[in-house]
Amino acid sequence: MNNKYLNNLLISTLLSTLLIVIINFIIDPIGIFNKINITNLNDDKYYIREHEGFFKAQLAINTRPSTIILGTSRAEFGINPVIFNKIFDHNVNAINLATSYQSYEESFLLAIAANRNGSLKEILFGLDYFVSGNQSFKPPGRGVENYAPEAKIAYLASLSTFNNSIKTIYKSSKNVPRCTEYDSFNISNGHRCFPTVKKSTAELFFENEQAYAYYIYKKNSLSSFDLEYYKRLLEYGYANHINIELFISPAHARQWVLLYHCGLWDDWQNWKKELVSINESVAYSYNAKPFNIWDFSGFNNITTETVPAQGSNELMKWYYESSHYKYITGDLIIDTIYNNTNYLDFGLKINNKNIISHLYFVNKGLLNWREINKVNDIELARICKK
Amino acid sequence: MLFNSYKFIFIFFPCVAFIYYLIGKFNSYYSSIWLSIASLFFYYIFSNNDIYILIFSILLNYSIRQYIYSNRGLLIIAVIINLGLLSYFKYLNLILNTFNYSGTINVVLPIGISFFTFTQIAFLVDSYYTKIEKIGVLDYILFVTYFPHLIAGPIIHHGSMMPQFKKPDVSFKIVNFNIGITIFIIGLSKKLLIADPLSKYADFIFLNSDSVNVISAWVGVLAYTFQIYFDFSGYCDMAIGISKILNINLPINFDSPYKAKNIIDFWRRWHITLSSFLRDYLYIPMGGGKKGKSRKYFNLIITMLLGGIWHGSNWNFLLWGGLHGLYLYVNHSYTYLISNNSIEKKYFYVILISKFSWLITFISVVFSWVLFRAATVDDALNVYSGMLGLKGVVIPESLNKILPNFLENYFNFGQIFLESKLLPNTLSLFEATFLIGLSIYIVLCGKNSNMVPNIYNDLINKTIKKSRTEIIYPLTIGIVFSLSLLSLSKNSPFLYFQF
Repeated sequence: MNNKYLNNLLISTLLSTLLIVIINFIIDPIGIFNKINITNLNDDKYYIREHEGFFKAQLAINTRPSTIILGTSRAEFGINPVIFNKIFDHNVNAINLATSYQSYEESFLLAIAANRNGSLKEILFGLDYFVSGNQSFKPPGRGVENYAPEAKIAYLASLSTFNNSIKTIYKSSKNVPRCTEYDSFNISNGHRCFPTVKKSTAELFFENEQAYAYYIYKKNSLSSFDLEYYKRLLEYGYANHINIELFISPAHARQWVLLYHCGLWDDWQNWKKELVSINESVAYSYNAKPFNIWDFSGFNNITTETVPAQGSNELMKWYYESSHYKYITGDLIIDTIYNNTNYLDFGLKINNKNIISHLYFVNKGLLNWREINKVNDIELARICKK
Repeated sequence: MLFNSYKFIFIFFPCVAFIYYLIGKFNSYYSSIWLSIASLFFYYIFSNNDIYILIFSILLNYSIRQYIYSNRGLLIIAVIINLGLLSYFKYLNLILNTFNYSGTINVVLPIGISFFTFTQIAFLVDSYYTKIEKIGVLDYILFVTYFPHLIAGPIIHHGSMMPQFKKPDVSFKIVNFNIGITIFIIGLSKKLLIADPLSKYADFIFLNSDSVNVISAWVGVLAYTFQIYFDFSGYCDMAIGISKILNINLPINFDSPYKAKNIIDFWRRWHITLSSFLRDYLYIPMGGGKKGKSRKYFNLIITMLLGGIWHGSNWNFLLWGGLHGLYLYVNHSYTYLISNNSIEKKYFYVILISKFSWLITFISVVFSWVLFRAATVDDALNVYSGMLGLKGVVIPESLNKILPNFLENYFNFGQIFLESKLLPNTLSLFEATFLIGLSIYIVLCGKNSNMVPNIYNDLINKTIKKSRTEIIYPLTIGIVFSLSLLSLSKNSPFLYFQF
């Protein structure tokens, strides 16, 4: 009896563990293996967002890309890697490895993972000020453990994955649409689709600005930025003959005015100077031409697009909301960077020689925008004071 | 190295148990030495340099113990040294903060110090009153450091433990192995499948106490109520289970405390070894209930205040202890009035209290956990305001949309509830409700893990059906073990390590 009890206990443990691992492998709720896709069972991956650090790390390891996109959710929503096929006129193995709140350290780790077999030739890096601070929010689950060889085993042999597998089966059977209530990702190239929510654009702007003012600009101090990993990434690029195109994201003008009212304007300007300065000093140490840095932020014909009035159902051409630009805006960025197409004042290559004059014009743009948009200016000041 | 880690479950403990029984075939004394070495290694892995404090404390108390019988002066000195050491590590930061000291002293509490200090104080006090037979230094080291209890209890008493350490039973017994592994799995599952998932709700609400509303406050507090029970009793079950595999019986520390029908009953079921220690070495020496009613209540409140502050250097713990002292005072007074017929038992409110005694007790305990968990008194007050509805009643957004047209949306209710968030864009209300519901069911309707040996004996004696013996129980426990093992990936220390 005693031995039977123990034997049955051990057999039950082994079988149930094995069963869960098999279910996790088949359903694959985060899309790591992509071996079995069954309609209305597991073809929609609803849980990537909660584990996007792991998803992107594994995408980098598994894909062997020649081109990657790094940056925060702005680049994640805004740059569709498919555009590279048009730009380079042939099929490019490009993937979007940007993640929400991506720190420069995470960007660096992803670049190394993507270049494991030396295939990487091009990095397009969307730079954002709000992840540069020493105290900037860092989401959990973005560390080196995502790149470890045992990470896949841990993913399969996990109750949390099993929980997501069961919920995936339930949601798939109910045909819960992707990209509405849920964020959706293109599993093969990492591009993230912006959810269609039942809110007006004005509402989305307001909510987004409130969140930035409270959680990002006030709660997490940005007063001293840390660009160590930015520098290391540039060094990695030179050492491994990878071209890096750097660009400062084109959030909407309201976002920059919000930054001004939250007392971070000067710091933001200094951050830009520092980006340029580090880029040129690293290039000098490698005896190479500095990488291009493009500034799409500030006040130009795209970022100053008019926001629809409260209650209006009208959508904007270039923006989802204050922080996130649409991928057609992203197409303009890529066209500007790689084809040298000129979209008037949208995007300027910055360097040590023109940075001061450029910042002067940005300052002027701020004064101008505030003068023309007095009501909006007061509203943004109020959001920051709350 | 945590009990709930692959290293412990698959490497450390199997090695310790295997060598323990292997050596025991030749000489049981060497098995005890092996267990002492393993225990010191276990503590070293946990705490690095704190092991010197542990060894210092053991050697000091062992030396003093030899001369302490009937020597009151030495006993006082010994207790002062032990409490002094404990207080230095536990309360120096609090004292410095209270007096706004701006220096850089930051004392880190050695893990398990509260438990090994109390174990040894009890030993010294008993050695003072009764001449305890000679104890070898190795037996004493094992008594204090025995790894299943060292870090977070239960607080063991030499009377029940020393005989087991002096003459360990080193013959492998499959019955004890089966009972032990079953209790261990129950403890592991309490920690990993219930306490840890609940912790995110409790942590989130107490971290954002300024923005709670009535629903989120109750969810957070109930989550903590069950988290602390399943976490701590899970740890104790694991310790008891491990020991049982080694043929060593540890005292039980929990006896379904949330089934208690009054606060006196609660303290007989919750952290039993601490309650017993405080009763035997604090409350009774102060006079207990023998010096009149007022003195009894005074002793009770002092005991609970000290029991509260034992948990750590935070004024909240003192308030928590004080609140429980007050509860006990009310409970004892009420019981006294009833038993002396000072209150007519036919009164409506007396009947009401007796009918709802469980609920009143449970809610009182839940309220007290707010003080225990909150980082500051202000945080606790915020959560209390939320619980009492003073911060408004906010229905989660997605539920709010369907409530006005509930009937029309009836068929979508499941889907919407599944997606509802506790606070906007945060944790799932559905998961929280499910976990709290499951916890309530288990604590009220589930069998106590202390009953495993009885159930197992019934199985052996065939008073339970064979199918249950050989199939249903082991298969169920096996599935629970599997689910627990698949949740082991996170490093998740036990709550009572901080005390």
